[in-house]
Amino acid sequence: MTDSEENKEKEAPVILLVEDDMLLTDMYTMKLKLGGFKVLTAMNGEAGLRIALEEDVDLILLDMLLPRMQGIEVLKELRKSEKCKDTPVIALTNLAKEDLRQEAFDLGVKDFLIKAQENPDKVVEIIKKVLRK
Amino acid sequence: MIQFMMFLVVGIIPLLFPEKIHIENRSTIFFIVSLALVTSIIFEITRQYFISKRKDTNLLLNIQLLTSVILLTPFLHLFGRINGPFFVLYLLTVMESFLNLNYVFSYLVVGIMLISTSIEFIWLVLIGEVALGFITVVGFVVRVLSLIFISAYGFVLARKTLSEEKARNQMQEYAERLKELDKQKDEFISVAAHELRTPLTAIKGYISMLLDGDVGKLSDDVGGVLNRTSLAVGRMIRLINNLLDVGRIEEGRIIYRMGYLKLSGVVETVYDEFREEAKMRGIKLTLDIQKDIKDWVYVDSDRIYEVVGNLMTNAFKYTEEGSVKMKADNKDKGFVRVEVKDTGLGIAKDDQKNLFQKYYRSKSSAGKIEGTGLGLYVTRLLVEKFGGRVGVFSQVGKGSTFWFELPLAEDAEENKRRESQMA
Repeated sequence: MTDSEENKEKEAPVILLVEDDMLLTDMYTMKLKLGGFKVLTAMNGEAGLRIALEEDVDLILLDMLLPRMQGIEVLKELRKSEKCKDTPVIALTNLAKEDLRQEAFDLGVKDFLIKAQENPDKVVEIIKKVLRK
Repeated sequence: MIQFMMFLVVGIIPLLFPEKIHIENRSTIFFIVSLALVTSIIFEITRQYFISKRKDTNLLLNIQLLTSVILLTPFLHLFGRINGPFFVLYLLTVMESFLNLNYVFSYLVVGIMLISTSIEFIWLVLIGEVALGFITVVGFVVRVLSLIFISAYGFVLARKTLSEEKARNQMQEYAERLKELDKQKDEFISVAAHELRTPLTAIKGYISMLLDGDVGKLSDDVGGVLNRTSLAVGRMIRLINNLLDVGRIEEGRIIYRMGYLKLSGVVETVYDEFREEAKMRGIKLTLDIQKDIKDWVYVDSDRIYEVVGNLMTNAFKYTEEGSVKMKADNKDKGFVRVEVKDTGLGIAKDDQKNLFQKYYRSKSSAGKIEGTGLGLYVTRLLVEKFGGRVGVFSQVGKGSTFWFELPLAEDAEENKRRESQMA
């Protein structure tokens, strides 16, 4: 591996995708990799929180309806931790409840996306916009 | 004779004016009880008056007292001398009606009264007061007759009140149960639709990646097929969204992302989406947007897209051949109007007014063409939410025109500019 390649690898922002559906995980992983990101995945809330706290993560895509630990709980824990309290989080869900949305925004999510309504293209676009800021 | 008339008159009053005395409730029964009581008091006073006019008043009173004390002790203790048995009997009858007891008590009391009166009569005759004896007997007969009359009346009332109350309670129970079932059904639909959405989202995502050329360039043929697949998926998502939205809109827990947009833009996008399907099915699809149209509206863009999509899905579903015309104008001041006109089956007048109701399927289509009966209902709820109106013109066999109108947003362009500057 040359130096420049190594740098490029380092430059690629790391996205943590916390999503319990395998197909959606696979689809978003493909799309995010194509968009030039490095992707880590977790299939439940607990694993998601652990990875977020252990690894260097630039942005977290967080499903709200998760096994073992609900998305909103993960978000609360992240905000409590020293390491991840400022990590940008985008909620990605099919659970379009107004109170949940409000709670998520109160906890500082950058956006609250409804999976069925957004093309993966748009999701990548929004991630890029958030990371640019 | 006077007592008899009085008794009859007072007893008959409630029967003569049943509509004045509302006999549906228990207070009426109380009214009748009091009526009976007052009647009995008047009767008793009259009787005492006749007795007091006799010479040997004390003896007569003692005779009455004796027979009554012997035979009616328990009731006398309770109600005193004034027509105790009558009142007790009446109360018992009313109570019976409520408690569904048998008549044994009533017979017992009437029997006691009969014996008491007989002894009184014999005693009076024996001491030579024959006339007074007869008055006592006639009084007894009148009392028993009125008693039966009023009791029967009270019984019927009580029965009626009871059965009505029972029916009312049952109806309420059914209503509660139906409400509960309706809620369960809504929840089931919501959960099922939610489950369906996840894999569909993946399908939609994969297809859009293929179409974007993310996994390599596609031949035109493959692209065409994928486009059609994408159309079908789009329609399926719309269908599921309708199922999900119904509950949410009704419960007011839908998230609206309101913003300013040009309605003609939405119409154009939907038009593009349906061009492929029109070509495949040989239906002529046209778009007519008024020149210089004023069409800034304040809506949730996804939802309004759904509204136009729903109207188009319907038009294509019910049109086998001919044309579908989309139109947008703002001839009505302050409103922008979108029309979708088809040359399909058409809808009968009777059906038209129900079309926008929940789960309603027109008689011509139910069973022949599949559908959930939710599309137009959701369309109406959404359009009304954004301050607009929906409607339809139609003639059976000639086709239908579905339309909706939205109020123009004032200063929309300026607001929009401010919005984008903030973002």
